[in-house]
Amino acid sequence: MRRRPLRSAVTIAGLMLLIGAGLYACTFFQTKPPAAGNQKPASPPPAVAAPVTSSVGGAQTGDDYEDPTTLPEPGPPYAKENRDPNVIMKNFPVDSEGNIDWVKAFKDNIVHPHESLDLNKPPTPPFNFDIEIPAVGAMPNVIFPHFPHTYWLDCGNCHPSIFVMKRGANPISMVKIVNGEFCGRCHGRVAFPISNCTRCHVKPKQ
Amino acid sequence: MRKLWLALGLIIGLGGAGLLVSSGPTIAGFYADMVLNSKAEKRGMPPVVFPHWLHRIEFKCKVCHPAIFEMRSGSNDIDMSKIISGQFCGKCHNGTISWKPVQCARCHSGQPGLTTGPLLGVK
Repeated sequence: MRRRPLRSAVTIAGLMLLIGAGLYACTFFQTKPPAAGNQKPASPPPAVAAPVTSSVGGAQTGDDYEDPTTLPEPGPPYAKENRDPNVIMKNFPVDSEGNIDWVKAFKDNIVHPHESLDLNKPPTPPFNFDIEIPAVGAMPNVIFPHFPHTYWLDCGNCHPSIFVMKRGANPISMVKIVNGEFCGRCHGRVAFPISNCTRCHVKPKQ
Repeated sequence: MRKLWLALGLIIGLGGAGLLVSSGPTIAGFYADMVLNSKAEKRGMPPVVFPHWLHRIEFKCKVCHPAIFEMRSGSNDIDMSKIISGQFCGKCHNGTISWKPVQCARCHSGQPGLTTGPLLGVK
């Protein structure tokens, strides 16, 4: 009578261990495909335009072609190795937050993005002009570098619809940026996140 | 003995539930991915997940913005007929610059229920 609770407790513990091991195995197999993908890129990752040729010529996996009579299966967006960011961007530089540092990537000649769909169009030289934006309180001032921005963008992307081209004419604040105005049109959404304070607030006040 | 069976049933039930949860859909996404779902799900397709990072490797922002796509989520009235007739994604995804939009799941790859806008980051 006294032993039975103990024995059942032992059985329960054993079963829990078994189930835990099973669950772990499940999650392990789930995360395995990207891990397997990570080992592969000894050969350089294919260019982005490659999928057309690679899906015709190379080894075809199950998701290469699909049955046009059925609706697609919803699933993770990166089914194939050439769409796996962990494979393609394995050696890309990252900033202090762990996000890809796209500015360093082009400065280090890791990416060579096209200037235009017209391949004969000569690149526009980036515009080297830093602007100091005063910050509130003890926060270091912001140095806005035109150089990386004009590498990626045209003047017309930001001026005059997002930023008026006049000193002091833009009432920028962090609240507005979080709400998607000014810098927040891109930063925090598609460009590096605003949680990375020190990437913009770089110039300590005297 | 009955208590033991009860406990066993409870454990197996919980384990099964845990298994269901752990083997459920996992959202794989990358920072700056955009979800396009203003029409897709209403028309019976999974939402589109647009990978900014992949396009950024090949093209500068100014190639597509703002001439092809307005830089605000939800402000581009994209649909498949426009893409096939060469607008929006169809400017490149036409078989000449990049692959044709014939493999639906290549773009329509999001989990149902995603809202239009950045997949990660500030909404």
